[in-house]
Formats: sequence, structure tokens, C-alpha cells
Amino acid sequence: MSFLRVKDLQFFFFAVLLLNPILIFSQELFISTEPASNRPKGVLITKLGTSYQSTGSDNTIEIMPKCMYSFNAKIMGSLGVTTKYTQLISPESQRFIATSFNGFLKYRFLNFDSKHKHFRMAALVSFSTSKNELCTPLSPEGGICKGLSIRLIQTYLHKRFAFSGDCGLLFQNQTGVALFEQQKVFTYILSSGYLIRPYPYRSYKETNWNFYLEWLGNISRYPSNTSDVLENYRKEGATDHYSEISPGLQFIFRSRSRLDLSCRVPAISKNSVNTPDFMIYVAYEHYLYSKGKQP
Amino acid sequence: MAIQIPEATIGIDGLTCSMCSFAVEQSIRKLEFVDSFHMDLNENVATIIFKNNHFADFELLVLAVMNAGFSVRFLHASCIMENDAVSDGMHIKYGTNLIHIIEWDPSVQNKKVALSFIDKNTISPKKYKKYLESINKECYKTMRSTPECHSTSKNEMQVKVFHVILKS
Repeated sequence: MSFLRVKDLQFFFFAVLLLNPILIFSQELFISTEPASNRPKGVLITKLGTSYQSTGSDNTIEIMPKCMYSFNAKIMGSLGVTTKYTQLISPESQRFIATSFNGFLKYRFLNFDSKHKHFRMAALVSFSTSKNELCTPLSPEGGICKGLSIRLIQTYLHKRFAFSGDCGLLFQNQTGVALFEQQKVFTYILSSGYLIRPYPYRSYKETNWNFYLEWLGNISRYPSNTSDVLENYRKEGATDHYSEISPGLQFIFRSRSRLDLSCRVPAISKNSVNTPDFMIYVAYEHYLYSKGKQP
Repeated sequence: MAIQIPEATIGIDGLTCSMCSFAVEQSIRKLEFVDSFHMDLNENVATIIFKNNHFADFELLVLAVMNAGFSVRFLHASCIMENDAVSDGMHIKYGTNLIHIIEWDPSVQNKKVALSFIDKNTISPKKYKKYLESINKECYKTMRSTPECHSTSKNEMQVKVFHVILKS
């Protein structure tokens, strides 16, 4: 972890301590990250995400369809694609093009359950291909950076409150460089959620409202053999520590479909490229097993 | 002695939202011997009615909860039994399984009784650890029939054994 400076880590841990009491409120179906828990065995989740970003002269829309499947209570996998529409660069680029294929495999290795609460930990390995040479490696959902990521997730739920901490290393891919000599990026996500309504529950049909507040960040060091483009980008003002705050509202319909609305606002950045992102996700859970077949 | 088990209640740990409760319900409803299911969404206690003349496989029931990603806090089953032969350590055949009575209430007389399961994954790990210390039986550790606690033929050695406390 030599690419991390002591002051970066100090800031990170101070921020965790500072925000912990504020952040402890939600459900664990976080918008920007995966919880340590998996969905039930045999459940297929189809998810469609869209994001919109405007930098004045450049408007970008991304569409991110994704499928997730729970092999059992401990192992869950995902595959997705990101398509992008940008208005700026040239007329021929003004169409949707696939910019990224991504996926993850998550293993829940620790589980403590009690009445109305649980604590879980999981390891997650994700990959992403990307046509974007420049990216902010903040989005496990979108997979906008090319590379491999290894993450550790812990999730705690207590009644209406949920809290999740996620930290990991992203080995950001550059052509011709071995995996573990890639640009290493330390990523972290702190997520919290609060069930606004209903409370108490009366039926599965009631719409659940969840409020989320998430903080995503990364701390990076560019290797000496970094490409000129990245070097120039950095000199133009990209910081080594970049983070975003993401408030969001989630609606759960009939206990099996979701609508997530959120935005991301740069919190620590000198980089003018990063303007707020607005995101909408819809997801539906398909229970694949049939009557009489063992779950 | 044969018994009928028409229903069971399961307390489920780790549930905090209706989406999770729904997942548990879907997982249990798919079991062939389940007739109906009702979940108390606030207490996280499920009441399950079994089909008439069907053998309720409690191993599959517990597995269904665990496959949904949660844990069983308690598992109680109600049954009708004639008690004239009931005694501590007695084994009752139920479907392909055996039910081993660890404790029973002597006031129980020819009526509906409750079986409180005390095996691994049917109670919290903390409670199981306590029982494991006090019940010094091989069949409790392995949940398999052993000559020590039940006169078994070779074929019965692999029979699943559930351990219960019988209450009125």
C-alpha cells in the first residue's frame, strides 16, 4: 500500500469516525454498492441503470443493463454492460456504444444473525473492460474503469438502519503492464440507509421507502510508466484523492421490484470534469425455482 | 408410536425488511409438503401448515430458510400424540426421520403438544452451544441414529434424528 500517503489514510479514518454516527440510518439494498448479503438461492435479478451527466458543452447518458444471480446464500455473481451516448466529440460518436462489460463474484464468508439485525462480511472480485481511457473508479455498478478490483464489504443492519463499509484495491489496466504493476487505486464506499416507511409492516404489498446516503472515494497514485494522457490529465488538476457524496431515494414495490433515484456530487476534487451525475435504477427479482423443487 | 405434525412455527433471525421476508416465504412455499404460509412481518415468525398425510421434512424447511440467507431462531411443531409410552430418551418415527425426546412435561396427556427442536441450525448458535455441553450424546452432535441412544439396525444408522423438548 506504498502508493497511499499517511495523510490520505488519516483523512479516510477521520472521515469514517466523523460520519459513522450520522450515517447509521437504512435498508441494505444500497444504490451505489453491493451489500455483504446475497439474495436468496435461485433468484435472478434484472437491473437497468441510467445515468445522466452534463458538463455544459458535453452531455452524457449511460444505460447499464445488468443481471445478477444468487447461486446460494453465500455466492452471487453478476454480468453487465454499459452503453454510453455522448453529444460532444463528433457527430458519428453521437449514438449509443458499448463502453464496458463488467461483472463480479461475491462470497459471503461471515454471518451473524439475531432478531431484527445482522452483521455480514463478504469478499468481492469484480472486473471491467472499458473503452474510457480516463475514468474515476467510483462505480462498481457501471464498471467505467478497465481493470480488476478486489473488495471487502461489511454490512450491519439493525431494524430500520443499515450501514455498510466497502474498501478495496482496483488494479487499473494499462496496455502492456502486468496486472499487479498496474495503477493501483484504493477505493472505499460508506453507505447508510434508513427505512422511512412503512413501519410497522402490514403487508408485502406496501411500498417501502428508503433513504440512502453514500460516500464513495478513491485514493490513487499514478505509476512512473503512466501514459502521457493520464499524466496530462493529472497535471490539469485531477487529485489523488477523489470522492463523491450520493444521496438517494429507493422505492420497493410489492417486495420484489425496486426503483432507485440518486445523484452524485463531487465532494473532494479539484477536477472540474466531474460534475453531478443523476442516476435511475430499476430492478426486478425473478424466483426461478418451481413448485416441488427443492430451493 | 406414530405422530402427525400438522403445523410448525419458525422464528427467523436476520430479517429486517419485507423484501427479505418475502424471499423466505418464496423459498418455503416451494416445498412440496407446505400447504400454507403466514409471516408475521414485524416479529419475523412464520406459521406453516403442512399438507394432510404429508411428511414434513424439517431438514428441508431449515435449509429453505438458510438458502434464503437467514437463520432459524426457533422451530416449534405442534403434533397430536398418545403419551402413554412417552419417556425421556424415547424415539418416535416420523416419516424417514426419528424424533428423539430429550425432555418432556409429564402433565402432557393425550393432547396437542409442542415439539421444540434443539438441533444445530434450529436454534441460535449460542443456545446450541449450551445444549451441546449438557447433552452428551453422539446422536445430538451428528444428528444421526447411533446404537448408543437407539437400538438401530445397520440400515437405520444413517437415519436423521431430530432432538426435541416436548411441552404441553
